Amino acid sequence: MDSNLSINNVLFYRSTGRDVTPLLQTLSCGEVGDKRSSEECKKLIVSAMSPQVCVYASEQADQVATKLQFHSLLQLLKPFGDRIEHKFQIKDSHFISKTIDEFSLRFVPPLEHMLSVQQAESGTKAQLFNYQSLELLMTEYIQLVDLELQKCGAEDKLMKRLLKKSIYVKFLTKLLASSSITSFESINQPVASFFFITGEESYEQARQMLIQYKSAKLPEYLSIDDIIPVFIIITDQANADQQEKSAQHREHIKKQLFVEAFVLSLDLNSNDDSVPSVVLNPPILCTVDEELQNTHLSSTPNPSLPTTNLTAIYQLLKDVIQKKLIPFMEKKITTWDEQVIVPRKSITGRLFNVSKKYFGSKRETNNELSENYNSELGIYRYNSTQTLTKKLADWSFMLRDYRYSYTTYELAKKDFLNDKAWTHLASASEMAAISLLMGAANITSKLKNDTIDPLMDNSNYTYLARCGLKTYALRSILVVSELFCNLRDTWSNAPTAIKWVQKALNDKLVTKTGKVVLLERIGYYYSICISAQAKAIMTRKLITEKSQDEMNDDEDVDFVNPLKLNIRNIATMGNTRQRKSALFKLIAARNWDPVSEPLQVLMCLQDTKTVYQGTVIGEREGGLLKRLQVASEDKLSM
Amino acid sequence: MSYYLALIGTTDNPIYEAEMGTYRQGGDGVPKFSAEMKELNPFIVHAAIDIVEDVQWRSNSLYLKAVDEFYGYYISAFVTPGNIKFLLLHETKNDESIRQFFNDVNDLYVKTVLNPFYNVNDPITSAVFDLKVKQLGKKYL
Repeated sequence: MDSNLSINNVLFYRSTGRDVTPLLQTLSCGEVGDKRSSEECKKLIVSAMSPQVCVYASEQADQVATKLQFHSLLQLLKPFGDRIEHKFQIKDSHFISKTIDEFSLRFVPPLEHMLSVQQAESGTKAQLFNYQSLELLMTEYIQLVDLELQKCGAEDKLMKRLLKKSIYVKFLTKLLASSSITSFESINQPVASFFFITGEESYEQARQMLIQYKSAKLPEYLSIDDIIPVFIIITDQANADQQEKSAQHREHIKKQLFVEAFVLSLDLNSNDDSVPSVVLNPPILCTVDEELQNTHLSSTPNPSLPTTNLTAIYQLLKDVIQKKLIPFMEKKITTWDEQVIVPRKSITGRLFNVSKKYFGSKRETNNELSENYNSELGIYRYNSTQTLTKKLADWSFMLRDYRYSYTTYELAKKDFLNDKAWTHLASASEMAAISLLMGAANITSKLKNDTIDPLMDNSNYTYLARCGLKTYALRSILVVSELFCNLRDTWSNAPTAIKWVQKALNDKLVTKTGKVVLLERIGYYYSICISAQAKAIMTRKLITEKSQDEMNDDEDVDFVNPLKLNIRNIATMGNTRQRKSALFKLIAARNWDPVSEPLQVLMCLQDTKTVYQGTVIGEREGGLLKRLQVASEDKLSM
Repeated sequence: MSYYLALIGTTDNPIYEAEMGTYRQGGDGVPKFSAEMKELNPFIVHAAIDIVEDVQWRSNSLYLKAVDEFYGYYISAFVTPGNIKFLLLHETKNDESIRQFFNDVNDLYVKTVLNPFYNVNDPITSAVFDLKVKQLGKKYL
């Protein structure tokens, strides 16, 4: 598969014997205030907010997947969506073209299927995930990590740190990966539907599929016209006859059904081991339930694909994204822009609004509130201005035009506030804050205090107090915190991230494992909280220390005054938060259970060593630190 | 209400620690920290040094007021000219009486330093010092 390794799959790499040196290397360079972990999280966030694609497969197409040792075609496709590397061209709202290096797709089951499952599970008010399932998943994951940690020798320090780090990444991924469809989060509403058929199937079958799809009953907030259908015809590479037939098919579908079709030719017959094949990585962005299913019910643990198929699928996805998906989104964005944004911003539109406000009769103004918004169900119709504005913002966010999406979210927010559409308001505020942070390399404190903080306050309060959507609040907090830490100036921005994560802890948005994971994360945030000067000084010191070790010059000092005080860190004094970091690592250690997870306790304590080792409070007999250490070491040696 | 006082030397070493309770509002002078909090106290105060080191250069006065907060507890700080830090963990903000308390503790500390047998950064083991600090606590806190 691609050369890119993900920290999410580190256990999988260990079990399949993959080389993880690139991942280890990211840890090894001992830079001061290393915030690479946050950068990885940002990548994860970007790919988690990518277009959603529903996968419809005909029976025969699913059989093809079964033949290749997968449960379904969806399972086969899912890992491919995580990261598709290609130079994609995207035009932004000003028709300026830009190139991005990678794109992601989230493959999900058919729309009707998802909606019915969701309905059965939780009725209308859908949380992102089930707390119990997440807790279960995390506990199991930590147990697996513990097993791996035990296998590591004492010298595998980097490996241990990598495994430890993967716990938080896993947690964050699971929060991000939810695909539940709601009326207020259009980022989780599908953008495209892929229909997979085989070359054997007739045109009539394809037509049936499309008709069935178009006639499916959708909730009011979704429109089938905003989801682009794409046909993909799977053919056998070896079968020339079939290939010809599928080419004809393609033309036929294009002409008769007005739907774009692509041909995917796969190598279906080579089950022998002579063909070079690659073990597929497990998909990163699968939901909590999916992951639990995968770990518990997996029949073929590590499905593999011949290399030729692998490149064929990647090529197909690249083609579809570049030729169909991106142009479709761009076109829709332009249309919606003309439809909803331009009239609002134009002078006539404004005059009209003002006149309506002042000269309209009272009855009319009352009507205006409930015109589009169905307050009983909490939804807007799919063709209302508000839905389109929100969708426009989301789609431009997916195409990474963050500035434009921010202004659009702000517009949408005003409407939602007017209509008291709380869930929509919270989601729009959250996304506005995220787009601001996403687009910026650094932000001024004014922007932070006057814009982002109120946005986050607003969305958090609304999620929690008005809508009771804890999971959404938690997700928005973690996303925003990670993005804050991604900014260049960590000295002023990491405290904001800490403030938010602490709020999540105070509001009890997490369960037991989540709490410890977040405490550790706060420790990490404090550790990257270093002012720019201090960082420069410490880096220089690190380099000179290394070279001094080599030179090993011993100066002869005739007389040393033993009472003379030497101050250790005069240059960086007060410009780091190492002690705070250690405190939170210690609290995290206390929150791990020393009986069931002694290794985790010890690893947390290991991180505090640079600060506490040799100090009076650290070495104190019967002190917290010693007590934890002794308890978990005892447990380990048993 | 409970108080935890620590005098911190120049190498982050505590030279004197004491837990005190209030005599105000019918208190009996016995500290009432929960077991969880009690073992964490030294570490919380230690972490506050980060903030003290940051703030101490920006203020002319020795008393820095409440510098840090930890889950509803405040940490007030006083830095002597010799860079010994007095840190007090407390539950309610009470700037003025804490200032007076610190000033008087500083007097006691200066008297300790005047002792030719005492070296800077040594733990203060004098029972009289302890008694006097407790008396000051009774008076101000």
